[in-house]
Amino acid sequence: MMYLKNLNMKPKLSRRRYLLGGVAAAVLAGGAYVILSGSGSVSAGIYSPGEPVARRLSAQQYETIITDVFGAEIQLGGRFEPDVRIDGLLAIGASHVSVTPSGMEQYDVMANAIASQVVSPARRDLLVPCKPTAANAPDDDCARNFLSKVGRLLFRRPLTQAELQAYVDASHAATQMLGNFDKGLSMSLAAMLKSPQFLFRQAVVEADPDNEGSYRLDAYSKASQLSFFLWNAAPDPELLAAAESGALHTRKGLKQQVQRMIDSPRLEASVRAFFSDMFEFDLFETLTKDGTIYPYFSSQVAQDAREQTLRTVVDLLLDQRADYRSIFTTRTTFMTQALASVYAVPLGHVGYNGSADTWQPFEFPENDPRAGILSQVSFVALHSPPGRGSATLRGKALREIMLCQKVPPPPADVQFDLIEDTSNPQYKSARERLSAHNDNPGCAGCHKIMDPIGFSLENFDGSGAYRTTENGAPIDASGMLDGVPFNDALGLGKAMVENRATAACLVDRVTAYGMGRAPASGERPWLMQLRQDFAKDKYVLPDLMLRIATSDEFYRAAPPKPAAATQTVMITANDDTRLEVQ
Amino acid sequence: MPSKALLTIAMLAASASVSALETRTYVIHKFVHAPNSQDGDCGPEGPNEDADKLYARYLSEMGKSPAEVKRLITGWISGGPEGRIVQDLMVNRGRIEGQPVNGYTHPAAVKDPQLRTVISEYGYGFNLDGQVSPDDFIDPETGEEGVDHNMFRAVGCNQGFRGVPGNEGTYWAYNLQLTGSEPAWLISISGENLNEDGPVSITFNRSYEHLKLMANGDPVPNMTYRVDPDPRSQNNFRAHIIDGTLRFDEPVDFQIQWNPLVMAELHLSRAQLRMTLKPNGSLEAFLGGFQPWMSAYWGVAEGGYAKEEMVVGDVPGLYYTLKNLADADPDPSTGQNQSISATYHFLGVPAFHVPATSSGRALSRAAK
Repeated sequence: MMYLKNLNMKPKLSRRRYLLGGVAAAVLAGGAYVILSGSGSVSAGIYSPGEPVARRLSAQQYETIITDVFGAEIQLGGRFEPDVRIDGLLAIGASHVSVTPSGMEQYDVMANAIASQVVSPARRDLLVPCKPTAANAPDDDCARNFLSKVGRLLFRRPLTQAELQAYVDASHAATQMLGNFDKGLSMSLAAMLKSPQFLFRQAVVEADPDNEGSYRLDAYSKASQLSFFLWNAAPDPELLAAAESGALHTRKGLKQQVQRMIDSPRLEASVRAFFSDMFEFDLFETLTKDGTIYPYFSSQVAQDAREQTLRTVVDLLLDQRADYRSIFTTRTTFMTQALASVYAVPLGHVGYNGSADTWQPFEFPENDPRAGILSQVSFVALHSPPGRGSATLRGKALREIMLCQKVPPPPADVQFDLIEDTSNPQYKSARERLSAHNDNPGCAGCHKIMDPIGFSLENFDGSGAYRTTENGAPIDASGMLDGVPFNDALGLGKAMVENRATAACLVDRVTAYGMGRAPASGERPWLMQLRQDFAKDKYVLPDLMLRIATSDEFYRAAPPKPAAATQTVMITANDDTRLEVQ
Repeated sequence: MPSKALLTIAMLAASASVSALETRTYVIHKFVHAPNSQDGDCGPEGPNEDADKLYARYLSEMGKSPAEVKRLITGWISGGPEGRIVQDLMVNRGRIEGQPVNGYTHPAAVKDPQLRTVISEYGYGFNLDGQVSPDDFIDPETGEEGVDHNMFRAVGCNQGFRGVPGNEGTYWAYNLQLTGSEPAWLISISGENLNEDGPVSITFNRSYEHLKLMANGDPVPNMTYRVDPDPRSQNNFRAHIIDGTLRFDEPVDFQIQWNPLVMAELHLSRAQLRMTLKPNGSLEAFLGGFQPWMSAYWGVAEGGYAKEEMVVGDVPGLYYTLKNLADADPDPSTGQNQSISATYHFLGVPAFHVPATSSGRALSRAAK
């Protein structure tokens, strides 16, 4: 992509920017507010939007921005702090996290590494649009030219005059100190890359001229909200231009941009990011299986299992525009050799030059006990302990992840001995062990909302492999979901299709993912309307995303609270960058 | 994995004479010579010499003084420059018209060292020639008499070949390391009900793919392998399961491409099989027949000095034991037997077989 390479336009600097570069600045610009924290608490009203939030860039978003701006060859050279899941989504957790000293060190390492690669001899001429008058002396015009363009892409808005001047001044000083223009320039670029304006997606709120007393995201924040929602990336130059011209605030201009982005292949990145988040696929990073029980469950299997479900979802929901609920009953998926071994299915080798490691479309036949993503390894193995399956964990995961329901945590004094004793000759099957465990009334209350769901997946062991017996005892895979009984995993999939909470949960999750916060109570009417529209649209995901992205509600915000929006940002254009957010 | 669930695609058609309602397919993950080494089976002097004693003796026979022999062998063992001297002398210990030649490529140019051979009563295999003679073995598992297995007799007193099925000698341990980098062998068995006695058809093929192994070194079960259509690796035989053991209906000629580092191709004439299909879905079998002894020799000799000093012992000596104990297929003009009786032991795990041009859509095991 390399936006920077393709950019020749001169940035117009906004008159309403307020983050300051330089040594230190207290920021609170009149008429516009930078929000670095907030909650969904909203007062009652006909329509009361929640407070907008600032979100830390995810690792994927960071990497995508760097790729978009500087090219895919740039090596990040660092690692990211773990994200936090709140209300079912890391995307919401991203608005509740800060940066630890260790995390800041990593940002510092990456910023310096990226900046030095950008001005390296191999890339400089491609990425820096000018040459200084002397290689060993400051050239403020050239520095300004580069920093204004790159700053606009990294900050997702034009730099203020003060910001730009601060970065130019820093580059000037560093060049004098180091005796090298490019090195000086890279110091300013590195400072940008470790600034909160880059690392956090900030929401700027302004009064809505079309709705007196209401507030909305300003054009650039709107562009960011839209772009990260639909592409999981920063706004591209066209979207930034639409924000700059004001077109994004018009209905026609917004629709035009949304449709362009929905039609783009880059929509897949966002769909993948969303479902990775919703399905809690970050758990794969710490998934382990007992090698003595499941020796075939390699890291490759885990990696492929995650990818299999994402491919299944993308194929169904984007390529085929199928009913969202069909992900619970579909027999079509994709397969690799490593996965085929776990599923015990034959797989033809149709890769280039007979490669055995390529993904291949696969369809489970009508009489196969597997259908839908709940019977895929990514669900049954991910929600199992290392050495056994777990009807309870699977039932809990289904309720919380797929139905957006909350299951209380187990009591502190719960005894797991009986459940974990898989070699107990008296209780051979999980159903028998859980039945005995649930003799304790304190346990039975919660188990009854989880176990009947999970029992239907008992034909899949802790690795996801199919089985008909456990410890020699035949498996009874009958189960129940919200009063609907079924005989096996296929029945569970069908029950999920019929369950009203299934589609409603997706609407809630997609909306929350886009806004970075749980919907506020005042936004319920909008959510209810989205749910109805989703049904009207035959549960087609891109149509839902289009409706959300073109909704005014998606960009509305509660009135700003100046006291809560105060921040102090310290930026220095050298290695000693510090970040303080109050 | 339930054995009943081993139904799979039937693109590898069974013999027309067998009603194939069930087909089980496997990948072989261990195919090794089947020795039956026991204490005392090489006589009172024990197995043949290891390389240090062997080379010391050869150096002495070459006229080196005891002190010189000691110096060279000590230096050779400790990795000193003497190693190169010893290596050159041992590699070129053959003589043609008085001139040194490579003893591994010209084994007949080395004097027969008269290696000791196995004198045991018991050895794995089959009565391949229908005769029961005093030189034959008795199979330790089946009690079958008249077992022809002169490969064991020929190589079984060299340390690198000593062992028992399941705990083979160093030579085969070395060869087993190659299984992850050579095309796997496949077996398909079809019959009306493989849990019961009755007629079956059995195929042996080679795959395009290498054996896929887990981190613990065991084969990955249920992997898919493409069947190599190369005519040199096609074997389709009739067999019967009788009392739970699968055997060929009649002796067969078996051929399959192998690994040039072991044997470029394995040919077994008048081959017999006994195979057990285990409840856990795996299989274990013995396959015996007469194989060209020269190809067996070259499988050892291709490694030359390196294999000799580290694994197999006297390589030209093995040439003579194989030649002398060859027991079938006499050359019409010289009378020298061209083949030697041998038995191999192998294991298999469930795997899927697909034609080389498979579309990739087929039934899972769980789909009844």
